[in-house]
Amino acid sequence: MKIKAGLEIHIQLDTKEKLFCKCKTTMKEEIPKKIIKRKLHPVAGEFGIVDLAAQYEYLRDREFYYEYFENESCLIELDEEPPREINKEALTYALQIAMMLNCKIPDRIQIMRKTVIDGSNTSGFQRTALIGFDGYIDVDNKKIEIKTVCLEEDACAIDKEENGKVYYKLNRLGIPLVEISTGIFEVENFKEIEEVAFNIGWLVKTIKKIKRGIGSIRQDVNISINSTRIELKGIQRLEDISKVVNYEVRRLLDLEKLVKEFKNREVKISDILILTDKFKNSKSKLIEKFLKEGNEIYGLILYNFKDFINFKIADRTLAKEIADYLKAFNSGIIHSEENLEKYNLKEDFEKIREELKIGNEDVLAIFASKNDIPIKFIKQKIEKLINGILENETRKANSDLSTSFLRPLPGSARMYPETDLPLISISRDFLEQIKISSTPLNIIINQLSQKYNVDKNVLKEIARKDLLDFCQEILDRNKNLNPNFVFQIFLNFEKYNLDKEIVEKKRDDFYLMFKYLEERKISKAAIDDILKEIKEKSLEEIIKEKDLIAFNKDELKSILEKMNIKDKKDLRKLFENEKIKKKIIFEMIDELLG
Amino acid sequence: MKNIEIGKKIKIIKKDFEIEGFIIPKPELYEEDFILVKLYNGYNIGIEIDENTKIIELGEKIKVGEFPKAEIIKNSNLKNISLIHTGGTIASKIDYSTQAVSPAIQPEELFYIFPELKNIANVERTILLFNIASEDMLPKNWIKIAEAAYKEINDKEIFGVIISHGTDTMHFTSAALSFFIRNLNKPIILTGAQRSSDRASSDAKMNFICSSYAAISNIAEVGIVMHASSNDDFCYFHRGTKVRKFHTTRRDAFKSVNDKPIAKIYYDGKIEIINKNYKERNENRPELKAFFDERVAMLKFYPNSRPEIIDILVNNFDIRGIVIEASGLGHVATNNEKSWIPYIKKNDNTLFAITSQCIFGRVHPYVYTNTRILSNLENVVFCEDMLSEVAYVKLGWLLAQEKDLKKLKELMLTNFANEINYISYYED
Repeated sequence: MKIKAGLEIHIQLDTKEKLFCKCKTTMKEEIPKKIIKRKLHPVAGEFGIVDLAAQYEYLRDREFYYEYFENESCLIELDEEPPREINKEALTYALQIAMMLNCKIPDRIQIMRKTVIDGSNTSGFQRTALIGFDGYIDVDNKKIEIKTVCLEEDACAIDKEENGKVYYKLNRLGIPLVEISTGIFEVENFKEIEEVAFNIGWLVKTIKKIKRGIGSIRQDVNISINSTRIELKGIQRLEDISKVVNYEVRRLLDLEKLVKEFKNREVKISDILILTDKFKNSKSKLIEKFLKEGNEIYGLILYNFKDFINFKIADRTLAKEIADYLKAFNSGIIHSEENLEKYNLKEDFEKIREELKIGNEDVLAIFASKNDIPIKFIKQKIEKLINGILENETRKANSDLSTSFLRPLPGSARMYPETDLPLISISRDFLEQIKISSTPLNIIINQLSQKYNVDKNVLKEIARKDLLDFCQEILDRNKNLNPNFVFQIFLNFEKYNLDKEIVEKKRDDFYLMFKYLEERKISKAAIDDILKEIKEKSLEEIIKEKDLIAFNKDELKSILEKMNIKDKKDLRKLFENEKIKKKIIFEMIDELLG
Repeated sequence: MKNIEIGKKIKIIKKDFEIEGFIIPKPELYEEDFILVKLYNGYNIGIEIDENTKIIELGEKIKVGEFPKAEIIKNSNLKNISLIHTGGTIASKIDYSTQAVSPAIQPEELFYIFPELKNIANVERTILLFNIASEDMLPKNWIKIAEAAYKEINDKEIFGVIISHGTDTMHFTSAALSFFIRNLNKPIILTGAQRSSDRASSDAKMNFICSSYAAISNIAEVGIVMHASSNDDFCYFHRGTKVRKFHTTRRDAFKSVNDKPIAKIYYDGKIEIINKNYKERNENRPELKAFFDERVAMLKFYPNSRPEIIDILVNNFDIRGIVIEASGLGHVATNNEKSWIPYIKKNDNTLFAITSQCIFGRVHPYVYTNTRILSNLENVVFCEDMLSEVAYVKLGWLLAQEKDLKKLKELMLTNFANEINYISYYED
């Protein structure tokens, strides 16, 4: 099935200082020096309305605790001092990236405040500036539109959340972040989305000043099916994109199925019931705990929901899906169609069923919460579903590659100028000066495929491992090596649990290994032994331990002479020595491999 | 370029691209050769206009909403308060078409910004006195504010008054009100914001909520109620004569000096008295003594400073009272070629009030020979632990009532609004 997708790729720039202050961008400190407590309040945007996402956050009424790290945060991150002028180093890299992506650059850049009220920005907004628009990138001969390139401040990373208290780390706040947004493209195979993300990321790396490590490149995927738009956030690894999208598409299609089924039955939802009194004498330990914590017990009757409450939506039941929304409010759901004995609630439920004359096809659901905000929220959600409406949402990717509700999709009414900073003038001369040339991946792969006579897919795979540059370097250094052989070695890297990082660490050992190969000092068959151990040991150690130095002709001659081997019959003697046998076999393999 | 109305939807066609959006006003002080466009995605960018640029008007105009209003619910169980707006960012709104900030002080708007208010107090009246930046405040404005506040506290229905004010000179105004309104019977609270209220993180919210609690509290004092720390947990109720702004940008910019704040006022309304020296709500008839002789000045002594400035002030501007923010215990240059002593001596019709630029602590007339020389002069008064700003306001207030230098000196050392603490307690 075809879906519409769009990508937002966020890339941390490896600058010395942050975007709007002079703090370090290292993110190395671990123990906060201070913790500051704050609340945020929704504010009306330029259209005179409070954004839906902001309203939702206000309802959740969370308290935010900011962990302050010395050298990596200052009063600016604490929203206690106005921003300094934008970091010129970051602006330069961002403009370079925008130009690589064939964007137009505005003559004046205005820094904007984008309302973000989940606490990840102390100010309640994220500073962001549009620095490029109307660009494109070629991916597999398909032109993908680059709608905008923005330079923005990264938000706080979340440390932990407990009981409505969210702990954020201030040291990530303010790190320069480039956001690249593609236009909408149609895909049938979700792997294509990964391909686009990869190609953009690959091109951007040309500027070198990109942070490495988990979270340094983050991709959000927007998908729309029929008229529902979902923004998927927090997909950590590129190769997970297709899987997360696949889950979400399944979820949406199942919801559509459910909504269709609703039409054939008279499903309804009751008003909110306050059932706290009815549970006063409950034997349930869980209820006792809820009441002790000062919660009310609310109820909803879902008429004719018996067949639906356990309806499968992707990998979850509808009840689990409802619970997922409630999690945001520290609440949950218990319903009549689950195993109530588990909570010792069977009796209570039966009594209430009888008292309230709840029918056999109806579901009674209860919720514990300190106020009625969560239940109002979920009631509205279910009503929308009953009316056939699937709402636009921002969802987060979970580690099991499923998705969870994060907040309603923010509207566009959430941007206004950063009044503390002047406009930035960008001269065409300056752009010419900083421009760096870069070649898109598919062009490079075409060139290399011709040059080395190597299959394009092999090259793409090597590029994915971010080892294309290194392979080329090896081939430049060792002109006699067979390129296909070299590429194959890197292609098999996973087998040995090796990656780019290890290559970086053991760069010299790898140079040497290929040099020995070129000089035929070691045989090709020895590579397997080397790669198995290269992570732990140095090349020389491995060669010595395993005695991997290949024979040369003179050496072999002298061994034959020494062992007094004069004709073929005596060769058996040679094989009695294990070491010599191995070397000979290696030589034979090399001959066979060419 | 022909003039296109602000807010109009346009298409700009340049050599290598086309773009659509709405024209919005440029910030002040920018040259003329570009236009600022709000794109559909919300971003603003500037595009240079040359003879080859084509601009097509697309008819529509940007839709900018009204500032939202909340319904006012009067709760007869709640106490009434008045709000006097004088300027600053505590209650402000952005006009997105002009990008200008203006005060949002209609009760409906206040209830929108501070919905919690409806559970705290009824805002019986809101008075937009003026909208003046802190640095543009003049003594005549202090008088206007005092008159307005006086009128409100005389209304039996009103429990307390909140005055919104720019933060920079708020402590001058709080000192002025402390002197201008005698016999105070209910709270007069000054408050403001260090972060403008267009942002979700604005300190205006907690400051205003805590000020509302303060206004209906039992503390019949002029006070400044602002953040106690960088945390959003409680505000301090600072005495109007013992407080000063200490930080350009932090939320907790205001600190009490040579005195403890009167109370902690928590976000949820809890009030914790930490300084028992305050006047309780009472049935007194307040008295308005709002006058100020503007012939006062304040000078700061520093090494190599020119004492001749005193002559200029007195001769050219008829200055009658000068606060000297002296060094340490109350010193000015005495034994070098730039000694201030002859100039102070010479201008014997002007009263010199000595405070310390140390800010914390008390001046002392006798510890060193040089302070003795200074304090021995007839027209000099050492102002105990009074803040320079407070001494300045007090001097102007007294000069408007008393001409006799000797009596003026006495009055400067008379405690009118707890501006002097005679005991210095040890505080962390």
